[in-house]
Amino acid sequence: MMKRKTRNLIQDSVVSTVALVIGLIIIFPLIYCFCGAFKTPHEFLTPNLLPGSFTYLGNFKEAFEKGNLLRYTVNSFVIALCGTSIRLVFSILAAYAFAYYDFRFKNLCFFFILGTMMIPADVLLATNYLTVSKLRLLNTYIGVMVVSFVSASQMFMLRQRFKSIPKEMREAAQIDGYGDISYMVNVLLPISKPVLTTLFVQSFIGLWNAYLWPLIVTASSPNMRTIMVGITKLNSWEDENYQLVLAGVCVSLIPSLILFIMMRRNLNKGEMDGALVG
Amino acid sequence: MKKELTLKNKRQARNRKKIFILLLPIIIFAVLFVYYPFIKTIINSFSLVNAKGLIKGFAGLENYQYTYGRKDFLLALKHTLTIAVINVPITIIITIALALLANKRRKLSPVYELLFTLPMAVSMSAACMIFKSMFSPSVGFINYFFGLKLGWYESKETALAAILILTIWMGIGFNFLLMLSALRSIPDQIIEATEVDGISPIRRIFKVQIPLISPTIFFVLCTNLVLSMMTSAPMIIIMGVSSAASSTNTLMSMMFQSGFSSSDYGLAAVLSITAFSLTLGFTILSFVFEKKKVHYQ
Amino acid sequence: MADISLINIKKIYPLVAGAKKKRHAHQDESSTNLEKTERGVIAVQDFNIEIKDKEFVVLVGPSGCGKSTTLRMIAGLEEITGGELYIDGKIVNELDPKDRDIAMVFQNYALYPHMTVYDNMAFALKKRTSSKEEIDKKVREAADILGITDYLDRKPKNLSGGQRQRVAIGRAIVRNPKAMLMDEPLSNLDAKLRNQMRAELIQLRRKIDTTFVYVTHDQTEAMTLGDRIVVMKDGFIQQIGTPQEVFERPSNRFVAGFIGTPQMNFFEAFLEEKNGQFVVDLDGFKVPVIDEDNARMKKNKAKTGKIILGLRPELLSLENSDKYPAAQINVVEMMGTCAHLHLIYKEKDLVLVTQARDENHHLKMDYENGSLIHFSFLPQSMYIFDLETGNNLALSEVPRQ
Repeated sequence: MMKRKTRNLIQDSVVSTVALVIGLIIIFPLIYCFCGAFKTPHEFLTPNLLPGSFTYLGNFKEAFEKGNLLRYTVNSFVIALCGTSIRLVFSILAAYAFAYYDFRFKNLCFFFILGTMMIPADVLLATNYLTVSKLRLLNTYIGVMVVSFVSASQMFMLRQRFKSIPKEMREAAQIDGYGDISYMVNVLLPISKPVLTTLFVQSFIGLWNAYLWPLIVTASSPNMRTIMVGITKLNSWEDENYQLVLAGVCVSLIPSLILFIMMRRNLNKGEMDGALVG
Repeated sequence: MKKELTLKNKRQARNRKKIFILLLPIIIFAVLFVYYPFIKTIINSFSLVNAKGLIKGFAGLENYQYTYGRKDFLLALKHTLTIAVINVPITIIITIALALLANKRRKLSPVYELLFTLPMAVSMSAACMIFKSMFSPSVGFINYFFGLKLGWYESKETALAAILILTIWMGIGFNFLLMLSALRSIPDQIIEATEVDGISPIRRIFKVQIPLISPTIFFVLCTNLVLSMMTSAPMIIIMGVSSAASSTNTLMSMMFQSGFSSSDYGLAAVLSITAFSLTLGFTILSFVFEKKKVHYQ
Repeated sequence: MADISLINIKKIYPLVAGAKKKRHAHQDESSTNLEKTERGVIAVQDFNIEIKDKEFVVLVGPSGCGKSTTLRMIAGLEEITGGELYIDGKIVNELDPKDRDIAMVFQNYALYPHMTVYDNMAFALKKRTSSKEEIDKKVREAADILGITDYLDRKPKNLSGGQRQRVAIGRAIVRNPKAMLMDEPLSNLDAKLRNQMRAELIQLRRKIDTTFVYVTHDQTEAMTLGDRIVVMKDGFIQQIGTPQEVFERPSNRFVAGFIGTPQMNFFEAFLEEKNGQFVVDLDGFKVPVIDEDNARMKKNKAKTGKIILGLRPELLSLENSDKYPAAQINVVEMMGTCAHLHLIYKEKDLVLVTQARDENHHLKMDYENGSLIHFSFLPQSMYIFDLETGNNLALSEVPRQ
C-alpha cells in the first residue's frame, strides 16, 4: 500500500501534467500566431507548425512599413493611456464624493451611474457616432476615447475601497489642515495603490483591445486607426497573406499580454482587494 | 447670530459646490454617451430617420413590423440565438471542468492557471484574425491537423461553427477565473467533511461543489448570454459586412452594417433595441431560473 | 495654550430614516437612554464648562454618554447643533478643524500607513511652515520628548502598539496647538502597557504646557490624569470637579457609583428626622448624619422616607457584635496588603475592603465562605441619595462649573 504522501504526489503530478497539456492546447492559437509571424511566405504554405527559424523579421518589417503599424501602435498607446487616466480620474472623483459626503440626491446619483452598466455599449454605437460626428470629434483621439470615460464598475470598486479606510484618517488630515484634494493626493491615493494599479491595467488592456468603436470613428482617416483596427486591414489587399497578419497580431498582443501576466504575478504574490470584475 | 448663519451656509454651499464638481464629469458623460443615445435609439426605432441621422417623421410600430418580416432579419435572429444557446452551456461546462482541475493549489498552479486565463487578454480583433488564418481552407492549421478539406467560411453552418469555437475560446479566460475563485471560496471543511464521509469525487462534484457555486454559475450564465447576444465582431471582421444579406449575420452585425454601411439608422435602431430587449428578457429569465435553482449560503 | 469655553452646547443627530440612521451605528451603542425628540436623538445637551488655559480636563463616562461627541465638537469634526464654543476667546462654532489650531490623538491613532514616522509628524507642519529646517527641528524636538527618535525612519506597520501611540501623540504636539484633544488614546493597549503609558502621559504633561481635553471610559485614568473631571451620562454632565471633589462629594448616585474602585455599595435605607437631626436607619441600625451634611440637608428641605445609602468598601469596618448589620461572606479576594470581601447582604452583593493584617500585624485569615460577619461604618462615611432623582441630598448645589 503506497504511502498517502506518495499517492498525493503522483496524483498531483498527473493532474498537473494534464492541466499543462490542456493549458497549452488552450493557448495554441497564440502559439500558432507567434510561430506564424516568423514564417516566410513560402514556409507558411507548408503544414509545419514551427517556422524555419525565429530570426526572420521580414513580416514585421513589412507590417510596419506597408501596414503603417508604427503609427497605429502610437495611436493605440495614446488612446489607451489617456483614456484610462481620464476614466480613472472621473471614477476617483465620483467615488470620493460617494464615500465622504452625504447629500440629498446621493442614492439617486449613485444608481444613475450604476445604471450605465445595464446598457451594452454596442447598442449605442450608431447614436454615439452621430454625436461624436456633430461634435467634430471624428478621426480624433478624443473621439475614440470619449465613450469610455464612464466606468461605473471602477467607480463602485473605488468607493468600496475608500469607504474601507477608517474615517479617522480623513479627520486627522482635516485637523492637520488638508482639504479634499490634498488629502486625496497625499494620503488616500497612495494608500489605495493596489486597487488603482489593477484598475489602471485592466482599463489599459480594455482600451488597447477596443475594436468596434475605433473602427467607426476612424473610418475615414486611416492614419488615426488603432492597432486593433489596423491588423484587420493587413489582410485586405493581399489575400492569404497570413504571415503578415500574424506578425501584426503579435505586435498588437504584446502590451496586453505583458501587462496581463504582470498583473497575474502580483495577484499571486499579494491580495487583490477583490478587484476582479472588469 | 446672523454672522453664524452665513458662515454655516457658506460652508454648506462650499460643500455643495465640491460635490457638484466631483460628480459632474462622470454624470455628464454618462448622460451624453449612455443615456441620451439610449433614449435616442429608442425614439429612432419608432421614427423615420434619414441618412444623416435626422428624424423626418413618426413611424410608430411600422419600423418593427417591417423589420421583423424581413428574411434577413429572421436569419440574423436565428444566428444570434443559436450562438447564445450553444455558446453559454458549453462555456459553463468547459470552465467548470477547468476550474475543478485547477482547484487544488499545486506547485505548477501559477503556470497552468495563467495558461487557462490567457485568452482573456486577447482582443476580439486579434482573436478573429488568428482564427481566420487558422481556419483558412488552404493554409490554415485546422484543416491540416484534422485532415479536413473544409471550406470553413464558405458554408454557413461551418462558418457559424468556426465562429462559435472562436467566441467560446474568448470566453474561457474570464469565466474560468470566476469559477475558480467561486470553487476556492467553498470552505475547506465542507470538502473535508465529504472526504470523511467517503463520498466519491463525482458525487462530491455534482452534489456539493456545483450547487455551492451556483450563484457564480448564474452570474456567468447571465453575463455570457448578454455578451453572446451582442456578438458582431467576428461577422464583421471575418465574414465582411458587404451586404445586409450576409449569410452569417447576427442581430448586431446586421445593425452595424445597416448603421454604417447603408446609413439606415432607423433599421439600426430597431435592431439595437431588439437585441437589447432580448438581453433584458434573457436576464430576467435568468433571475427566474435563479430563484429556483441557485443555492445561496 | 488657550482656554476653552463651552456654553450650552447641544448636539442632535437628526432622525432621518435609512442611511443616516445606519451612520449612527458606529456611534456609542446605548443610545436608548438618550432623549429622542422629533428633531432627532439628543446626544449631548446643557454642556457648560470653562476650561482654563493649560488645564487637563477629562471627560469620563460609560459608552454612549456623549463624551466623544463633545470632544469631536470641540475639534470641529461634528457640527454643533446649539450653543457656543469659544477657543482663546474667539467663537469657533463654524470654523473648520484646521482653523481652530487644535490637535487630536485618535483612539486608533490614524497614522498614515504609507509614510514614515518622520513624515507622519511633518505632514501637519508642511501646511503651516515652509522652511524645511524649521520642520525638521520641530519634529526632532517632539520625537525627543516622546523618545521615538530612533523610529523616525520606520513605517507604522513596523512599530508596536505603544510606539504607534507615541507617534500619534508626537504628531499632535509637533504643531504646538492651542489645545490637545485625546479620544480614548489608551483603550487599545493591553493592561500593563496602559498603566505604563498613563504614567508617561503624566510626565509628558509636565513637558508639554498646553490645554488638554481627554476622553476616557476608565475612571482610573480620569482620576490620575485630570486636573478636573467631567462625569457624563446620557448626554448630560453629571458633575464637574477635581478628582478629589468628585470622589469625596459625588453629586449623585451615578457619579458615586462610577468613580472609585471597588464600586460604592448602595443600600436601601430610611431617612428619619428628629428635632432637626437627620438619622439614617439601615434595617434597624441607626446612624446620625454629621453636622455639615445635616445643615445642608435642612437647607435643601430634604424629605424623610426611603433613600439610597451609599458606602464605600474601604470605609466599612468589620465588627463582632450583633448590634451591627450582618452579611454572609461569599468570596474572598486576597489582594496582598488588603482583602476584598464579597458579601451578600439581603440578597444583594456588597464589597468590603479591609486590611489583610490586623493591628498586631497578624494575618487576618479567619474568613470562611458562608460565615456571617458584621460590619459598621462611621457617620462621615455616609452618602445619602434621593431615591428617585439619585441626587446627593447633602450637597448644597450640584457643582457643574
